[in-house]
This record gives sequence, structure tokens and C-alpha cells, in this order.
Amino acid sequence: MNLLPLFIGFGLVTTAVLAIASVGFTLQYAVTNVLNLAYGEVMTVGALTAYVVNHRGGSIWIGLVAGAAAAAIVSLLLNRFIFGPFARRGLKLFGMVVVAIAVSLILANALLIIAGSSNFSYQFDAGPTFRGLGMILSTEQLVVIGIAVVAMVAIRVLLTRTKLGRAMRATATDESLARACGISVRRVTDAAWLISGALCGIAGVVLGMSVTGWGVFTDQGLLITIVAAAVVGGIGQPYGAMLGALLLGIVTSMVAGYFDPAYRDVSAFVILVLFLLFRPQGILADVVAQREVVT
Amino acid sequence: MESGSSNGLLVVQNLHREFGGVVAVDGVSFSVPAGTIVGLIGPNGAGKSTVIGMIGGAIQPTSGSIRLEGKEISGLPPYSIARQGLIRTFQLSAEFPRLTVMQNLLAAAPDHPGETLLGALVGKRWWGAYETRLVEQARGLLERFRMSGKENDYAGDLSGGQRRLLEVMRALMAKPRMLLLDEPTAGVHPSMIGELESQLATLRDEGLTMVMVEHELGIVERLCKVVVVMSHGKVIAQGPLAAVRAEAVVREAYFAG
Amino acid sequence: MTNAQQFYVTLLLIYLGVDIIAALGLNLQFGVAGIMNFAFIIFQSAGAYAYALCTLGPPGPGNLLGAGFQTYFWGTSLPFPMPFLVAIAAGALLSLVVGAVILPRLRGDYQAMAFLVVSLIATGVATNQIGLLNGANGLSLVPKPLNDQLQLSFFDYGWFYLGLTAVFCLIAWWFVHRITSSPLGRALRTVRENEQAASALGKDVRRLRMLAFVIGGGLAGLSGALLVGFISAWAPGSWTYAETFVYVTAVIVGGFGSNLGVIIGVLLVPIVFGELTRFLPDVGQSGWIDAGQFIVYGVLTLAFLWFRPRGVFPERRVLYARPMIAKSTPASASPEGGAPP
Repeated sequence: MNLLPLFIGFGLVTTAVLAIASVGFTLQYAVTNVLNLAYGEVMTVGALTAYVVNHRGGSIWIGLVAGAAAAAIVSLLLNRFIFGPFARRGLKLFGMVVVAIAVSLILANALLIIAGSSNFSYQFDAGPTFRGLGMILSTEQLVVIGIAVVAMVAIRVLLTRTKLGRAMRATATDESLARACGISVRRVTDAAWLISGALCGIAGVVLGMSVTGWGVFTDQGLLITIVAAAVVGGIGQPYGAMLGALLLGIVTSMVAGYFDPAYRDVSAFVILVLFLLFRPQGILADVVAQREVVT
Repeated sequence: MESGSSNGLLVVQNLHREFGGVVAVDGVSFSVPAGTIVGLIGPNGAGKSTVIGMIGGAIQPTSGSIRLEGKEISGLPPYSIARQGLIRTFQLSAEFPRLTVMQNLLAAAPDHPGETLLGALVGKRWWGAYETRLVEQARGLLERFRMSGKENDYAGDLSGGQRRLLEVMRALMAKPRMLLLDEPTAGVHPSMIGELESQLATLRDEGLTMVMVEHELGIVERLCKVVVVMSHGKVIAQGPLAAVRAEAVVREAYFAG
Repeated sequence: MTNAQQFYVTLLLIYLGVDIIAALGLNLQFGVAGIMNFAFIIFQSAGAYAYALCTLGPPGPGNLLGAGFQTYFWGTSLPFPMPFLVAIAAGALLSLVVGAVILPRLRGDYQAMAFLVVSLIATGVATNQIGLLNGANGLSLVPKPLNDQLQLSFFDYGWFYLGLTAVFCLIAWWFVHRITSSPLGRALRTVRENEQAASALGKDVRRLRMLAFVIGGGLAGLSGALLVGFISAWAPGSWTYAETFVYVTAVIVGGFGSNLGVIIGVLLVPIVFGELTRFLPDVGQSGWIDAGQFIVYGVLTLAFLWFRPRGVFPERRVLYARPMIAKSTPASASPEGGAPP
């Protein structure tokens, strides 16, 4: 059996989760210039909230909504009380990365204490398995891909057709100019963190749906893969994040499939380092620059 | 003194710089005779800071030549150009905020034996005497610029005008053959501008060569023998300010913007 | 004091010594030169592994020390103090390589991220390449230095090793202090304060950064060797990226840029806060104490960054002595007194 389509199939699921997550991550950077390294932990908050709902009898869909809401609120609070104030102050020597790692460690270990280190899984009816185009995908996995597609479309609509979306793009491009145009930067920032937080929560729940068991992990494999997707596509660009997610989802799955599953995360790490060193503006940089010149 | 002669301490020829399709500096040429101050003036966006950046080495020219006493320096890294004696100051103050004023000054001195690893390990026996001489030199400068009382203040705590003075003093500690001053009076309190101006005049009279980007035409008139007028990346006029002012092309540039 | 209590005290003091050396290294890179080295722990680890490889002997079935159950790519047996010197070299060399790639190209958050990811790559490779450094199990049964020659009791050896650690500590402190209190230290600080201005004044910023980075890396390597020389085992679990953060917290809390400050930081953070938690009852979830420690570290970092970024013991303001006598008297003008530049 040709393994390539199989791996591409797995890659698509990974991509789906990555896409939702990295678009959220990159939106946070776009609006506040912060690399939110606590993003993985917020995903876990979403996943755990859904778990609690799910195991109290709620369907996984209600859990999904609850998870998105919880993650959205936590994200908003993080920016309001930690990232925002520190960014305004300007940490000259240490940089926001120290703050972000501190938050990440606090959250991760708090979750570890609260939830323990055992594995969790959601309760929902498993649907049939689909085979087509050489891929093997379960219903859950197809649903995950579906949710990702819906989310990406929703983000596109938000950014291009709503007032809020345009305000977000304006703030991301030039904050003082946006303010001068009468945009309430504070409200836009809050909205951006709520929306990206919701994406983060959805990504967490959806990740939980696509695997047999998950837990509070303290390794940063997934977070770095998300950052890699965002950077590869051009940090701060939502469409770039989608492209980056596609590339990373497929590449990491191929590395895991053809080479060594243990190196799946390491391959993402290497890609990120290489891009940071040699092309930090990402793949799409020139394309975007040209667009701006024309308009 | 002819403008554009190739006999100056600093000779800039045909300097070009592009940024992604936009030409910021377009064939700029001028020369700076030793012991004079050449003013680099022109409306905003003319490319003056880019020219300073290229001379100082922070920006690489796309093409063109920059010679300091006959030696080509374009393409060299900034620290290398500084070591040749060409010291630049910055538009936005670039003091070392968490170091004291004295430390800022001492840090600028070149060829300190205590700045090598071996010298540091051997200790004060090795670099103590040099350091003492530097402290004296720095105190002399502080007195000259009337900032002796600020010796132990953190540079970050100084007022804007004091920071500009510090920057000039620091540049002087670096044993310059030539200074590149990028808007030295910007942000300085009016009461201090006169002070700064007279210090620069004295330094010029003592033989220090300078290129100065400046908007305040009164200062330019009093300090600069010759000005180079830039607009839209090109040199549109060169010569004494009075003569250049009369030229129509210059008036157009300033009013049309 | 019972033997067990005595041993605990010596162990704690040895940890203190190790952490002091490491923190002095990180301070040189981070506090003095402004390099956001979030990969710091891998340099300590390089030293630890190097020390182990230089004392375990070549891998193979004949090796009694345990090559029977651990695989590693190379090994030898060097006499004291060679393995320590090799460890310093390992930390310095790895710093040279990593620094040459990252330092010229990146600044600020991107630099920090790149270091962080390098740390994760190193952990990933060490864990998964079993034949390299015995994978996730790491290396163990590393012989203690001079143990056979001295033939001391277990507890007396502890005191000996503490003395050894103290000697290395003093040497490291002397070395670092000479640098930071000299014009070289001042030059490094200018790189931290404003790289562009430093360049414009003739400082070779690239060279200065690499100098701080490599020396800091060597110190990190030494600390790793001292650690593994006593506890005799070293595995990827000992050097996760979070361990770098513990040192970063110590530097921030203690006072960046100040050697005494980071010594205090190390005393407070990993030693006092870290070890005090040992005495808490183990209630609730297992392992919550370790998790709780990291919460404390994170909160400490945020609190200090917000309220007191200069730390408990800030970098000293340097003053220069004035000549005691009138200027007319020449050479008796006193050079700067106790104050370093």
C-alpha cells in the first residue's frame, strides 16, 4: 500500500488542528506584538473545560463551545493583566519572552496540580471510518478537518467583511494611525484576544477529539510547531499561518511516517530555527509587501 | 574652496542607496575640507540621515565611494570606521542609560588595554594608569561642557539637552578625526543650544572636522563654511549658505517639500 | 548532627556552589552583555556529559562501569582534573558553535526564541538518539573524582567534594569579577545598553558578545561537571528548558549585571525556595511540590520584573575617586580607590 497518501491524510488532521491554533497565535502577535508562549497551556484550558462539560453529560459540541469560551476569557485576562501592561512598560533588557515563559510555566504547573498527569479522553459516539484517495480517516478526524475549514472561512469573513475585522487589520498595521482614525485600540485588542483565544480553545478541544488520549503536557512540542507554522507563513499574517500550518502539518507527518515518529516535533523545531535565522519574515513576505505597495 | 573637490578629509562620490525599489540617495557627491564644518541641509525625507548612515557604516551603499583621507571606507562595518577616527552621533539619543555619565565617557575611549581579556585578567596593574588618565580627560570635558556635577548620574536620568551634550563629549573621548553630527540640537532646550553651538565652534577652531545635519539655519549659518543641500535624494546645491539660499532650486525644494 | 543531616547540608552546599558558578556564567551572558540565552542549560549539560564521557571509559561489553547497560558514542578515562577541563572546553566549544550561528543574526525576542528552540532540539536529539548519550535514561555510575585515591567514607567524601566545589567557585568568581570590574566589563555593558552606539564608538560588538557567550558557556560546562561528578547521573530530565528558567529567575531576582546579586539570587531561588519545599508534606497529587516550585519561580519572575527589575542587589553605580590633593601636585593624584570601573 502506498503510504504517502496515508501520511498526507494524517497530515491533514494535524494541519487542521495547527491551522486553527496558529491563526489564533498569529492574530495575537499581529495586534500586540507578543509571542504568547503560554498558548499551549490555554489550549489545555479549553480542552479541560470541554472535558468537564463532556463528562457531566454534555455533548462534545457543548464542550467545544465551553472550551472556546473558557480559553477566550483566559486569553483576554492574560493580555489585560500581564502581556498588555508589560508591553506598555517596555522591558528593555529582558523582553517579553521571559514574561511569556513565566506565564506558561505558571499555567502549566497549575494545570498539572489541578488536573493531574493522567490522560483524558472525550466521550462521544465514534462514527464510521472513511477510506478514500488512499487515506484512512475516522469520522472525528473528518469533523476536525471540517471545523478547521469553517473556522478559516469565518476568520476570512471577519477580517475582510466586518468593521471589527478591518479595525483589527488597521491596528495590526499601524497602531497610532489606527488610533488617530478613531479606532478604539483597546476594544479592538480585547476583541482580538477573545477571538484568538476562542480559536485556541477550539484547537485544544479539537486536538483532544482527534487523538485517543491526551493530558497536561509540559513539553513544548505542539507550541513550537504552532509558532513554526506562524513564522513560516509570516508572523502576524493569518493567511500565512494557514499556509504555514499546511506545510508543517504535512512535513511533520512525513517525518514521523517515513523517518522516525520521535522526531516529529524536532523537525518542526528545526524548521522554526532555520526560518528565524534565515527568513524570519516568512514565506509570504514579498507577496504581502507587494500588495501593500499597490493599494 | 571649491565644492566637490577631491581634496577633502572626507570625499563622498556618487553615493547611491535604494530600499526595495525606492531610491533614497541618488548620486550624492561632496567633499569635506579638514578643519571645517559642512552642513547637510534640506527638507525632511531628502535622504540626509541615510547619507550619514552610509558614511558611518550603519547602512551599506548600493554604489558609490566614501574616502576618508584617501582611504576607501564604504562597506566597512561601523566599528571599523569609528576606529579610523570617524565618529557619528545619533538623531535619537544613544547614551548608555544604566551607566553613569563618567562610565559613558570612559567607555568611548579607544584602545584601552583593559578591554582585552588578558588585560582584564591581569588587572589594574595593567590598565590602571591609562584609566586614570582617561578619568582626568573626561573630567576636563565635563568641566568644559559645564556638566561636572552630573558625573555620577545615570545617563538615562539626564534631560534631553544634557544627553546631547553627553553624546558630543562621548564622541570627543573617542579621539575623532571627524565627527558626523545627526541633528545635534534636536530636542535640546533653547537655553542650551547656544552653549552647544559655541562648543562646536570652538572645536572647529581647534581643527576638528565635522559634517552636521541640521535644520536650524541660523546655527548652520554661523558654524558652517559650506552647506550641501539635498532634496529627494539628490544634491541640488553646494556652497556657502548665503549663496545657496539665493538659488531658485533651493527655495523651491524648501517650499514645495 | 546526624550523618543524614550532615549529608543533606553538604549536598545543599554543593548545589549552591554549582548554581553559583552557573549563575555567574549566565550573568555574564545575560546580565552584563545582554544576550537572552534561553538555551543556557544545554551548555551545563554539555559539560556534564563531557565529564561523564571522560570518566566512564570507552563503551563496550568489557567496561565494568556499566557500558553493559548504557550506550554512548565515545568514552575514555582521564585522571583528575582533566575531565573538568574537558567539560569547560565542551561548554565553551558548544557556545562557540551556537553563538556563531545565532548571535550575529538575531536580536530581542527572536534571539530568545531561537535559543529556546535550540534547547528543545538538543533535548529531543539526546532523548531519541539512544546510541549517543544513552537516550532518555542518560548516563549513570559516573565515578566520583579522586574517590578511589582518597578512600574516604561516604560522608567524609561529601565534605571533600564540597571543598573541591568551593575552590572551583572561588576561581570562577575571581575570573568573572576581573572581567566585569574591568574596562572589558564596561565595554560588554555598552553592548547591552546600546549596541549601535557601542559600534559607532569603535567597539567590535560581535567579538565582545562572543567573548561573553563563550566564557559563560565554559562556566556552565564547569557547573555541569561538578554536578555530575557528585550525583553521578545525568539524563535529559535533568536539563529541560525550564531549568534555564530557574537560573534566569535567580539572575532577575538577585540582580542582573551584579555578581554578588546573582549569588544572592541563586541562594534565594533554587536553594532556599527550591529546597524549602522539600519540607512541605506531600499531600494531594503526587509531584505537586515540583509543580508548585515552578509556579513560585514564575510568579517571582513576574513580580520582580514588574516591581523591582534591578533585583534584590542591583548592579552597583561605579564611582571614581577624586584626587585628594590639589592639582599642582603631580603623580600623587590617587588612582580610583576601591571602586571598579
